[in-house]
Amino acid sequence: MNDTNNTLIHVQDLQKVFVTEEVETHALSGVHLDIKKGEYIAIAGPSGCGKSTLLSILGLLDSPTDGTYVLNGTHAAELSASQRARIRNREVGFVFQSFNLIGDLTVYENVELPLTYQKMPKAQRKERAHAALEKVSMAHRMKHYPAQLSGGQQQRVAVARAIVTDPSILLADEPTGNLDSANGDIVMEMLHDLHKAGATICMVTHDPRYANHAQRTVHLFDGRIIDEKEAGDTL
Amino acid sequence: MMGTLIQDIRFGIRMLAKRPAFTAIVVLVLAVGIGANSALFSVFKTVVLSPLPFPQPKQLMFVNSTIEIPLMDGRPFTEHDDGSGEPVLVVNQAFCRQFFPQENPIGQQVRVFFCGPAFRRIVGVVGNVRARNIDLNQVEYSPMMYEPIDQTCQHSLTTMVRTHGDPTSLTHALQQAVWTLDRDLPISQIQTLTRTLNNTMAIPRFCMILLFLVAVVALGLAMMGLYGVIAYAMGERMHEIGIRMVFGAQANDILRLTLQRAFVLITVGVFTGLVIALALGRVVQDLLYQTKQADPLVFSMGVLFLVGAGLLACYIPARRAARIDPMEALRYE
Ligand SMILES: Nc1ncnc2c1ncn2[C@@H]1O[C@H](COP(=O)(O)OP(=O)(O)OP(=O)(O)O)[C@@H](O)[C@H]1O
Ligand SMILES: [Mg+2]
Repeated sequence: MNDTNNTLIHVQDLQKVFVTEEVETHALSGVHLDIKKGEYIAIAGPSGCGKSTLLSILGLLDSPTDGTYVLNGTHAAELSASQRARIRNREVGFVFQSFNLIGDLTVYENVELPLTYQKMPKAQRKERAHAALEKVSMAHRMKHYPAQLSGGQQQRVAVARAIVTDPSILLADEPTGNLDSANGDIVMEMLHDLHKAGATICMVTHDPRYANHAQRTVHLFDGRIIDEKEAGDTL
Repeated sequence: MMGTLIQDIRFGIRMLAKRPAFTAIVVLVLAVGIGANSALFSVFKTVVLSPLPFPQPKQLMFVNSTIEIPLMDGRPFTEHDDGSGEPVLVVNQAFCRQFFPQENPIGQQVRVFFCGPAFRRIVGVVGNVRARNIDLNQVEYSPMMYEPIDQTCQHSLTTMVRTHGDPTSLTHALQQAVWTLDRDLPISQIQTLTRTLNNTMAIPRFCMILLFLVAVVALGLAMMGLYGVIAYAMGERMHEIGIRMVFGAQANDILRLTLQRAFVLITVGVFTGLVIALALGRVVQDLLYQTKQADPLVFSMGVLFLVGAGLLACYIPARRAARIDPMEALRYE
């Protein structure tokens, strides 16, 4: 917190309560977390401890019930729905466990999608999408549809889509969860390379092996951070 | 902006091509809608836009009088065509076409089989009119002969009187006028032309009203079907909408996308439906008087109306989709 200029994400006393049919689920109960620019952080913990919930709040997909969330100097609570969409588009890149590619769009169109919402000219979109696909070695499959790709390939396309806007932070929710270990390794390798090139990454993972890729691992339990470990794997 | 529009449209077509069953249902629903619509607008046009289904309502005549019927050839009756003159006839064009297709009918002598002189000479040809009733299905005119009033031996006669102002106020004066000729003449009926027309039109009107109701019901069903289909499609696309929101789509982007897709769907459906409706339409149009098959005005009204109604039916689910929470949309599978 001393070095505010370098802090990308500041989360304080974050609470999230889901209310369904009079049942209250405390998904997050008082989370404190700071993520610096260029940091690679892993979030670990048992199923249902609130990892995805935390990540969707960080990505402005969901709002906390209580607490403070500051992204890049902006208080999330003060944002309108439209401003949130704009920040999601420009500042945040998402990678999901289940890829979440749009089946009716080609690989190229999927990667281009976030740029179209920036009203970027076509030529520039093409250039950026190509570059992103090169980075994940999927440029040769540009005209394919997601269903024509393997799981590993789909996730690589999803990574390309997440980085095409050059976001401030990359949020990955168990990106290797649906992949075999070989493909998982490839995706982890890609994230590692992106981090080396300067990307800020926050990744949820079950796998302690992959958690070691990160500089810091945060352990969640029952909606609280119970442990933080530095991996010493600094640049 | 234009680029995205084209891309969205291309995408919409691709989506339809991938879902043939869904597309077929939409097209069918739209076909029914167009059929119903054009029937509806046919009736609308017939009843409201053209009060009388006649090209020239002035030519309506119910008596053997040639006053308002245009003379095409020869001469009309004169005061010399009386009991002492040569028995003459004026015939209509349908008569000429049937009996004198090649020759000039003027001056021809014909033998007639009603009372009075058997041989009569044709002195004039007049235009066709619907003389007896307005049979809405009658396309052909029937041959007609007109005889001068002074040469007739008919037992009854209908006389037409043109009035200024309210015709019913003259009832008494008319009776008096007839009775000055002969006190014993019975007058069976005095009726306004409007009334006579309404009587002849009663059954066709009833058919039209019936058809109108059927069309309204069909249109209602088509609209409901369209709404259902679109709402279903929207539900299927929820996950995709969620993904788009994650990557920065604003509510307006989603609204535009969904409406554009609906528009593509409706356009494709309307054009395919149009073909089906044209075929089915013949059945409907046969019931209607003087609505030509595929009346362009009627069809374009029907199509425009349906596109509008379809977009309206889409607007509600589209708005709902645009306002959904991204997390909620993502949970759809
Ligand atoms: N939309 C929701 N409505 C109600 N409860 C929810 C909702 N989303 C999450 N929860 C609850 O919040 C808690 C945390 O869920 P979350 O998805 O964050 O867990 P997780 O750590 O990501 O688990 P996993 O490792 O299985 O993905 C769970 O108990 C879950 O049931
Ligand atoms: Mg999760």
